[in-house]
Amino acid sequence: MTKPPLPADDDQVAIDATLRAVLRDVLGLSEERAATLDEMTPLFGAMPELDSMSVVNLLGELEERLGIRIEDDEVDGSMLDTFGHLLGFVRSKAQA
Amino acid sequence: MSAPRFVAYETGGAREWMLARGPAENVARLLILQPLFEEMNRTRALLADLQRGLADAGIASFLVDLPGTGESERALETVRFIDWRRAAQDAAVAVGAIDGVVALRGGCLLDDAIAAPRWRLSPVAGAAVVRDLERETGETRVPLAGYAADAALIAALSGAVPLGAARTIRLNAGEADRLIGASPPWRRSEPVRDAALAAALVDDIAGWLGR
Repeated sequence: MTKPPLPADDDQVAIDATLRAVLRDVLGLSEERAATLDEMTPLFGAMPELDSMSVVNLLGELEERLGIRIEDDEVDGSMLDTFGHLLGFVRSKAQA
Repeated sequence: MSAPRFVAYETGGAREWMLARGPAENVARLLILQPLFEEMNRTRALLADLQRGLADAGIASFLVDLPGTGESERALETVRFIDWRRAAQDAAVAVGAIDGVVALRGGCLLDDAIAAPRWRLSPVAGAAVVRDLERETGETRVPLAGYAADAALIAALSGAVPLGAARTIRLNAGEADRLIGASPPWRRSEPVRDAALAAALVDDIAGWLGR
């Protein structure tokens, strides 16, 4: 059993870890592959696991795990094009 | 032994079905309410493992196929939300004395219709269920993600939230009586079998029943 990552004193690190965990769970990425994602890693259009159906699952799981609400008009190509962009988006939502 | 068998229940003037598993001489009987729509398909393996594990613990379980889903002959577009809530009640009556209701995800929007102790896995608001359907629609351009559900059902579902006291289990995060670290199979297009998750849930349910 793993404990959920929720260090209250370091939200940035926690959100980064949660995003990696969600990508792992939804896309079935290995632990190693999820850990090697960096700011520039291309996602939508480059990662075969991330098809349009998985995007629906990804958004739903992020909403649920982070307690955020993602509006349809916020979901565009640039938000999902790299890990860095997606992380930035999720951080801005989680802190709003 | 615990070979699965279909057990009928009557609701809305029609015969519907439950998949029963567990010994005839059981220590407890549970009704199981499945997730809704696509999540129901994705949790099929988990539910099969759960029913098997419960049976091994001497607990009989009855997995409800709601009208318009699973083995039901009724067309989904004729089903209203209230029909699902009544079906949950009617299924519980058909089983007889039940010791509790186990509900997963959208199934937790129906369990308060039954007067029995409740155990929930990752309960979800109806609005979130509908939002998933609408997102799938946006991606696939197929109305309501291919589910021919009545607009009134969707409207009623949108306003539904889990109600009443329950023991609540969630995966990874959120408000719950217990968190279990695991990949949620309902978020995977092609879920992989997770025997450890099923075993953890069986243990929790058995403990909750005091077995």
